[in-house]
Amino acid sequence: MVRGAFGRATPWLLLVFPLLLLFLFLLLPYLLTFYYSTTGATIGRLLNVKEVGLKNFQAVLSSDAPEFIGVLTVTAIFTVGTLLGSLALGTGLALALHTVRAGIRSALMAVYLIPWVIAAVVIGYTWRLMFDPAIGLANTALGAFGVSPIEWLTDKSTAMAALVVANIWAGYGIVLLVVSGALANVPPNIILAAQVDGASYARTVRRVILPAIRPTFLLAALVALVSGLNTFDLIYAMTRGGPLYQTETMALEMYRLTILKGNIGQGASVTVILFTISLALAIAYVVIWRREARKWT
Amino acid sequence: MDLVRLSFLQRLVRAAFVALFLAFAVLPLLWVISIALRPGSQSLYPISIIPSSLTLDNITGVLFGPKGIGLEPFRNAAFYGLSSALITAVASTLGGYALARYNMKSGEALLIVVLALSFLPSASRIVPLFILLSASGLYGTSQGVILAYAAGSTALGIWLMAGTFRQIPVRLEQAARIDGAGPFLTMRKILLPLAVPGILVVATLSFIDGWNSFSLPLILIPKANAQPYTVALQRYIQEVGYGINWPLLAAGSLVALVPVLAVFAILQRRLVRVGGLGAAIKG
Repeated sequence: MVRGAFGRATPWLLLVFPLLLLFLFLLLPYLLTFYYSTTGATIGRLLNVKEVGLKNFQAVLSSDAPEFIGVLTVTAIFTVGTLLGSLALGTGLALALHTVRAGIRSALMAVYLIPWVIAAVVIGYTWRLMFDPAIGLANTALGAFGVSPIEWLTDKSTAMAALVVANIWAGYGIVLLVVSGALANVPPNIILAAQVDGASYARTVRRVILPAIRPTFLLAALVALVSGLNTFDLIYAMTRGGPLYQTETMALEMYRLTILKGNIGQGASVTVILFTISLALAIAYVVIWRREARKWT
Repeated sequence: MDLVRLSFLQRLVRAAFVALFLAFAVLPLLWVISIALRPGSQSLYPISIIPSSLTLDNITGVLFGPKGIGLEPFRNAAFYGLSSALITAVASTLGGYALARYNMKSGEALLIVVLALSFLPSASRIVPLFILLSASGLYGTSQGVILAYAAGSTALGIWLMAGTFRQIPVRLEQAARIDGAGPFLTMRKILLPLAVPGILVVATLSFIDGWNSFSLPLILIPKANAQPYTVALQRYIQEVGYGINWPLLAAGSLVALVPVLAVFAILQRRLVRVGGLGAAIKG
């Protein structure tokens, strides 16, 4: 322990700025949202608002253009599709790279991680280009087999598939990163021991490696889940929730109600619903993260 | 010796898997580059990944041309990214040091709550921040967006910096103090130089977040001349019909990729090492 410049108050003085920043721009906005979800506030009228109780939630849940259940379904399909795809791809690549020599591994890793640093909205434009009916790679490749051009983003099911593929591209990198980190921490001895005992590679992965990285794997799953739930930029860039709300997730619904319709109260109530789901997942995340962080630092 | 022995067939499968997804990772970007660097007249036909002739017309067009978005949106994004990085670095260093060197149970509990909040990606902050900034008069200012981004990166930054400071032996500090250095001199001469790698990573992650930001500026900055490139590029997409100006949109996207890829190339090793721990950074 080192005595600080201001004695026992030192740590708190150091924390004033960071905590103020976090309180004002992270915590306070959410608190305000909970309050506004029970008011009839609109974009032009944020002060002296009327209390309406749970009416906003009723309006959101019973809305018919689009139906809330439809929005939930789209959100669920998009999130689960992204989750499974990026987990499978990220973990598969991490396992494949794990068996490659270190020099080649870091070179390949660098290329695989490129999508991880790109702006989600640019990723959206990129994949909109890939699925462009006239000049996209998807139709060009299919055209080589004689398939006639497909209007990917104007049909519900192909649009959803396109969005999921694009978001897997955006999201597998973080899974690869997290799982690779965990694989590097698996003691080589237990892997060698399994090999000496005559276990096949597949068996070693299933019985030794995967169990060893289970907590980290869960962490990666939660990250992918929450980011899937909250994806906005990418969907906005590719379909804006269209055609006719067919790809509208809760994140886009929030934006549409608040900014386009100007109905702050209803937008806030969708946010509260999404926030509650995300927070439950976030708490699970922090519990696992804390356990893992102790091993790392 | 290799960690695991693979049969020839397994090696083959591995090579095919790695190659297939290498193509998945880079083909979309190559397609963008290919559209961006070919003459506009060839953007519709003939379609091939290797353009028959190369040109920088689209790049100069998007930056300087009459239909371009100009340099300003890129300058704005750089300004948001750098400011956010600076604020995040300062706040994270202060907070990380306090957590690493002082035994504070309540402070840590508080930060666990904050970490949980920071894990919520920016989309669920759109509406809350819009409400907060409208109510406080920061709506439409760049400060609002910068502080929002800095706050988003700071919670994780504090944790990363706490880890960095914990790895610096406390004896170094004690030795400096015994030699008569005050707390501020010790901070400047001993601690900060050793913490630079950690600070760099925290600042970089924050910069990338700020440079890439879209939803918050879209909603919080209505003024066209203060918007970053992410928002400005939208003008090339007309929602009615298929009026997308692909050559300029691809060229603009390509320009936007240069800074992040450059930063990534320089700091890749360090980023990969902490990235696993800082999984929440990109929501």
